[in-house]
Amino acid sequence: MSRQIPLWVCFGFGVFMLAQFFVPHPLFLKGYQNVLDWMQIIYVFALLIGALSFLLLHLEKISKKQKGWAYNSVALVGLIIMVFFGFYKGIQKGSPFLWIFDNLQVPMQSTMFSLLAFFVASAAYRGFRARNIQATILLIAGILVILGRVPIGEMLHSYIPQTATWVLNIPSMAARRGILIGIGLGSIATSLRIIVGIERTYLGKG
Amino acid sequence: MASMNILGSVAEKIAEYNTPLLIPNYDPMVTTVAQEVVKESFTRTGHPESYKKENIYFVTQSQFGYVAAVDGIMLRERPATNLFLGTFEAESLILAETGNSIGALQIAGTDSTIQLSFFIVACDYTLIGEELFAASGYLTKDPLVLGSIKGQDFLKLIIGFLIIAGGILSTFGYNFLINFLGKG
Repeated sequence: MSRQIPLWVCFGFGVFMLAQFFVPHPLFLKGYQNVLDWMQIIYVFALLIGALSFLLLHLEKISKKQKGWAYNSVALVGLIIMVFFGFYKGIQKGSPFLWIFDNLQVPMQSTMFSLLAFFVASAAYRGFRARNIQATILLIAGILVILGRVPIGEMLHSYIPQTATWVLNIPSMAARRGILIGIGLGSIATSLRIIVGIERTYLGKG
Repeated sequence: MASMNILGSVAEKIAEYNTPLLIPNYDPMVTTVAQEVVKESFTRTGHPESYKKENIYFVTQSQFGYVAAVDGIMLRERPATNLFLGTFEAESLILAETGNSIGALQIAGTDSTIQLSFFIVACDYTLIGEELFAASGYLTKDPLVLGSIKGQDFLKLIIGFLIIAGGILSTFGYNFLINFLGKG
């Protein structure tokens, strides 16, 4: 019974969400809106569980002085400070919460994002090494596209930007569309398997 | 959901070898599902005592906060294998390159076409697009799942045939197939 009920709930909601996409009846639209509202409510409770699990996990690691417990303390102190200022002073403009967010979290996030530039360089070096014919084609295509997207490419030869556009619009787009067709069909097949209960790993049953 | 299906099989194998499995999560809802999937897999293989709930936890909903946390875990714990499965955005390359730098065996799979190139250069094995959805069938060998994958392949064959036929017909000025299929 504990297995059957979630399967029926999944089937019911899956079929409903599928049907509402094709049936523009007000009843279906209202139902769809209700489902979205329920999702928000469930999500808030899931977030509470997540925050609680976060708190307990870090508290346990700190109390047992496990490896890297100092990092756990930083995470925990950050959470407590943000919750404290959020409830005590609010999150409006000029509040300590927003000040910490703007002056600590945003710069730290930007720092992580900026690391991407260095990782792109190291990944490109590895990917573009001309080890075989395919890698050499990739290298030539890569150089053409890079040159075609910057002013120096146009200065070198007018064909370079045109070739770069051709590479992006014809072979690259063809491969991408092929992958996208596969992804679309794969998503539909996986969704159907879940809706009809063939795939039930999400319930813990393989 | 596709990654959860793969997680079930991966967790079974990990339970057999009694190896630690760490799953830092971006989404609290997924955390709950992942805990349930791993717990059942460990129980099914006869090793329920090896299941550690504290190894499957929620990290943060901040994109780069999550990346920073996972990169830190990778550098401290030095995992032997990293699995990146699901939808990814700019974090894909940062995660994959950090994993590559510690020498971990890396398996990635995503339906984000833009991120695929990053995973291909930084990971040892990459599931391209639909392979992510088919992987659970490949791992479980469940005939029902394999049947649906075969149906998917036949549909792809039909779509491929229609694309080629449409291309040839429209080249010679017959646009009825394109007009018929293009009607929205």
